[in-house]
Amino acid sequence: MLQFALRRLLLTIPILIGLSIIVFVFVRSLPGGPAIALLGERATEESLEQIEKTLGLDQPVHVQYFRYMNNVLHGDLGNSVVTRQPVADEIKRQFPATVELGLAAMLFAILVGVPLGFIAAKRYQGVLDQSSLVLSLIGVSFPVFFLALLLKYVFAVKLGWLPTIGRLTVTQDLAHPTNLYVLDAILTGNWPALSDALKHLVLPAIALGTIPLAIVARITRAATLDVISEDYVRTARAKGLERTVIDRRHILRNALLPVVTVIGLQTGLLLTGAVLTETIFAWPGVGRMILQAIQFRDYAILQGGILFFAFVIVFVNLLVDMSYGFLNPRIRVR
Amino acid sequence: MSLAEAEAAVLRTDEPSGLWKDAFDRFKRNPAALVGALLILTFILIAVFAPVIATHDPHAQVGNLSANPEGPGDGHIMGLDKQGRDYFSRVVYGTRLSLLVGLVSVAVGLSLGVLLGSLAGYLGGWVDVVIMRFMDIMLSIPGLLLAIGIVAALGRGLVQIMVAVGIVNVPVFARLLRAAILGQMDSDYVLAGRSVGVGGWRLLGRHILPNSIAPVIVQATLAMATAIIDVAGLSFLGLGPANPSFPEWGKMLADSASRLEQGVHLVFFPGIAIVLSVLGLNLVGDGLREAIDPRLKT
Repeated sequence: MLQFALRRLLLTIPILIGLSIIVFVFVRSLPGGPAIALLGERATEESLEQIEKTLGLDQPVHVQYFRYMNNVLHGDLGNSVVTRQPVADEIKRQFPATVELGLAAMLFAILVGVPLGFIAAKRYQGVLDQSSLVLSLIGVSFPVFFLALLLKYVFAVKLGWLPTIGRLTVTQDLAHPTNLYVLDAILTGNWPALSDALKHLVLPAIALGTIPLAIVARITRAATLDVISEDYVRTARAKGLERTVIDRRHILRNALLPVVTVIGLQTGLLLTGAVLTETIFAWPGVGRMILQAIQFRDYAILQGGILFFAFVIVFVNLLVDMSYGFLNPRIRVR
Repeated sequence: MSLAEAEAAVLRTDEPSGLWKDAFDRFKRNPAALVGALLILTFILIAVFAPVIATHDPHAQVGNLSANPEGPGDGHIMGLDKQGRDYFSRVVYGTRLSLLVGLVSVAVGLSLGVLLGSLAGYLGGWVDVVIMRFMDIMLSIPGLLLAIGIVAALGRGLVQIMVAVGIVNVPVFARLLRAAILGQMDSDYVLAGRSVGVGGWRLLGRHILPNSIAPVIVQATLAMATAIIDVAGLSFLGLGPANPSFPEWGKMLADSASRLEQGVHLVFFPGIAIVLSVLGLNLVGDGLREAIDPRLKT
């Protein structure tokens, strides 16, 4: 197991290096380059030269790259042009919001998707099975932003049940030890704030979680169908085990293997969806930060944000691979 | 008649059905896929005959400027937008842009992906390693984010968007084709071709590619669905095609997003158009996948 983990860990190193090169080249190809991005279009020739010197832009490209990587490895992603704050601090401040939203969306997808897919498979070809297939196809065809707007219209504008923007009502007073508001509220025992934070979380989480939900349901169904006809399931039935025991211990446990992988692979989708969902619900996370960075031409934030998201995805994929090896020992042998 | 000729004649009477004919037969028997095909066909017809179908000029102001535009009814099936333009006509014309962008961006992704995938799969060795590691890196950047980045670098515009969304698809196509080609390399017909002296690129282009392209075609259909969503998403985020008066579904959604209570029809109709076109492509893609490889049927 250790060897497997180590090999997998080593494999991510070239990917991370490649990623950093791409992002580095990307920033260099932005219109105007970093100096103009920092000073604006109307900067004088002199000040441009000055800033290029301070930023080391007059050095050869490979020197610049190594200097940049050195900074990144020390946690320095540059400073935001707009807020003048270090990009790393901005990410640190806003990432918990994205994590909270992503986890809530994933929880929604799993809690609804796994039972739905499982029941559909048990009623193979039945009405419930067919309709779950149709629903999941419609689910993956729904653009996140359209679903978000519809949810917002029905539950916030028309019915007025749930808030439309932000993570917390302004009047709520809540200490933020973790910046995960739900967790913060629980840790500090602040129940009104907890209910308020949860209410704010519902609509964005459903909007973001629907596509993963459809995918999780489909995969669970397919995997359950695979397992249900296995010999060991028939054996379990033959020896008279109770149906719920067979369902839980023999079928579901084995069917969940591919589901775990798929859940991990949804991270990219979640982070992409986060850009749109966070924008619509004014959710102060990294996705919205990246979008605002484009509007304000804040290239340091843009670069840091994209690099950060990509690192998160690589890291989660690594975890998925490891958990897969852990859950399915046959993989480790190879 | 020699024995060989006689044998050939006998074999010929038994008309081979072939992968594509079999697949087409299976496709025809799949109701979901047919519904999808019908949807796509409808949208293609709408796009082609937009001037005939649209009841008004999509750019002309036919009603009053209003912060609370009229809803559906009274000569305007989908109501008016805030500039007093007929919304139905705008949604109809929007079909053109969405289908065009879907088609072109997938073509961009497909051509680059097929090129890189066949190089990697056919040549192998360090070419394979370099190309595929690069594809891995691209895959670790979320699609829409990569597209956002490319648009930010290239500037806004229709062509830039199609290139950006196309590039996002390159690693997916390249990976699929590489795997399919690797599966063919050990086949007897490849060995046979080599032994009678069929040259490298001819062997790849005439024999291996046609046998490996099926999964890529399925993926292209599904990628077109994603492309339509991605382009609408980019527009929604304000990174769409530069001309703001041109009807584009994502842009139309974005224009009305901030004030939902002033006319939910402005959000609903372009949104439904996106969902139906994407659903059609997804149904066809799934149908094709099952038709080409019946074992995958779940």
